[in-house]
Amino acid sequence: MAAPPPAAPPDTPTNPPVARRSLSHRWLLVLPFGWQVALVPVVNDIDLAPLHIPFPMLWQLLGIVVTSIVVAVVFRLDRRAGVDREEAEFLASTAPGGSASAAGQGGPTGPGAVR
Amino acid sequence: MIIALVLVIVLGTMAGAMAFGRRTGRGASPGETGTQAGAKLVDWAVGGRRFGTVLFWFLNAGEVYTTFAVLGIAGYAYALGAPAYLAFTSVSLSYAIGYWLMPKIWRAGRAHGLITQPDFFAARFGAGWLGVVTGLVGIAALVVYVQIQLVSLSLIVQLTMGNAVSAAAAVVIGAVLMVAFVLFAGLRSAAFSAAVKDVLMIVIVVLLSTTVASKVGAASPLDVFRLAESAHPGIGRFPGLDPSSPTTSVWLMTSALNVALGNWVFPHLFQVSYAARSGTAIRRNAIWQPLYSLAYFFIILLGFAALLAGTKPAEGNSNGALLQFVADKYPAWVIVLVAGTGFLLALAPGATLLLTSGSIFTRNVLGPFARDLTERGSMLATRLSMVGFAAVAVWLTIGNSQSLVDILLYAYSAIGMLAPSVFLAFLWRRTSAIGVLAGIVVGFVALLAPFAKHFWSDHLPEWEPGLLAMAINLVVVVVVSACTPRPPAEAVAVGLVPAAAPPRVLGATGGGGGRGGA
Repeated sequence: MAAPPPAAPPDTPTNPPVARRSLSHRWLLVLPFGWQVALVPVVNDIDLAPLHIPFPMLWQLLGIVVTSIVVAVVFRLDRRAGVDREEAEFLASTAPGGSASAAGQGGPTGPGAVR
Repeated sequence: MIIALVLVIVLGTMAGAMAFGRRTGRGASPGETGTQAGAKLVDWAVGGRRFGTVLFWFLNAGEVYTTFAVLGIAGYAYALGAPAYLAFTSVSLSYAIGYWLMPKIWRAGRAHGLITQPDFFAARFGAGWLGVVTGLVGIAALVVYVQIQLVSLSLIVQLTMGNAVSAAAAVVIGAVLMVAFVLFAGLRSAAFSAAVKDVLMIVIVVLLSTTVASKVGAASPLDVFRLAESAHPGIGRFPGLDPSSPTTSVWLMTSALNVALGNWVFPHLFQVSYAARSGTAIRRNAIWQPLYSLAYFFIILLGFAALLAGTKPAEGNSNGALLQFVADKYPAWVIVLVAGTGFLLALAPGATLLLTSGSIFTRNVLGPFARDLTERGSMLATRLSMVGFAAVAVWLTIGNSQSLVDILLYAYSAIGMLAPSVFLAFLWRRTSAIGVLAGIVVGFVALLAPFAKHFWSDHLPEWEPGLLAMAINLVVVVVVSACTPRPPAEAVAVGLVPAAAPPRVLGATGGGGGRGGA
């Protein structure tokens, strides 16, 4: 694809219709695995115990917080890449009476319930 | 006295749950048209696909925090120490993967009206028979998971009734309670009980962890860790209390990956993905849900405290360590609260597991062979099969004193046999039904055959066998799929956008997600 101007400054708040931007930022989701899995043998030999908490345990507790932060960042980058808009299209195209959907789709999901 | 009060908590919650279920049931019914039976199934199996962010949070929290979390983790901390940290990785890593995977499952479910997990396999690989096979594998994994609830229930039955009841009788009583809960309360009520149990569990965790220091002569809750380290040097790092234990860093790494990769493949959690209102609700939930698992800190604290207090659970069964500790050190009303919550903690998820197995059996295993089953007939089949699965779980449980964590890892190993094909369904068009079947068969041989078991324990004792079998399974799926015809285009489209269309935002860089960790 014709890449938008290289090194685009992080704030392009207009959400331009260029659309279909790369989702490569989703590789950030590998970070929690680096923290909570790959580094386990490394931190296992650290003898510190801040607040009496064994370091390998503190590391895993921090890993949980790191995961939440990473997922939050990816969520924002996704939104910027137009994931929500694309999904809204999908929701609309499968909404009420969508041919393939199962019965019982009615209810508060879509504006016009099954008639 | 204790029995009476525990009954008040459990029966009170069930009564509230039934009233709640009836009310919401009436509210939902007028909107339903079309085939009443189909609508009903969608309603209870996938919540009518209308769970927004807040409800979706509670649905997830209720499914993630079971008796395993409380008794299993505390018991592991008591018996082994550091290996209990597995709990800290289970939720966060599952959601790092779920962020990518769950919206894809949701999308397939919404677009094609899928209700159970075998529905997905049959649709994506264009083979009805694969629904039967994967249905049976899913049920097997669920029955092992039910075992966790039964072990916990039997311990709580013994705590409540005194050790007059034999262990085997306690398991049977637990199973009868669970089946009764499913038949009389049903799934909607299980959701209500899950909410009650979550609140009670927070009360208990706060109550116990704020008072635990004084029970074991520590200056503060955190001081418990210092005392534990000085009494048992090395307890806070791998391999834990016992320096010869195979629970090393490698054990944690492979077990954590196995749990994270298998988590969303469990049939009941697969259905959780279907139940979301939107992919955004799923993704937003994935931001917050991991933080809930910080609560395992307090559970491990209690496990260490039980060890310091010199707790001696009956028959040296570490699963009972926390309950024994409470029984030794706390007044009767705390025991009542813990026992009552424990019952709900096991009964509500147990109900979900049994109902999921029962409905998969009727819809996906029996269904293709008995197409003209009446609604009454299928109801009967579901109920009878649930009783049967509970009986199998009892049979597996009696005389088995394995740790809850080990049983959990078995369940994940079993469901892990479906994991490679779930991931490949969204990544690789060519993945074929024959390939999936071959992967399952070879994977189970690698997991269960005596020669394979010996090989793993001789050569890779620290590695989680489930992850090794999953890797072999993956290779077989890929190789066999490459040699067999690809599924029809409309089947592939269940998982991947058609090749002709320009790459859409979601399907395009499918490789993201957490798989890179494998």
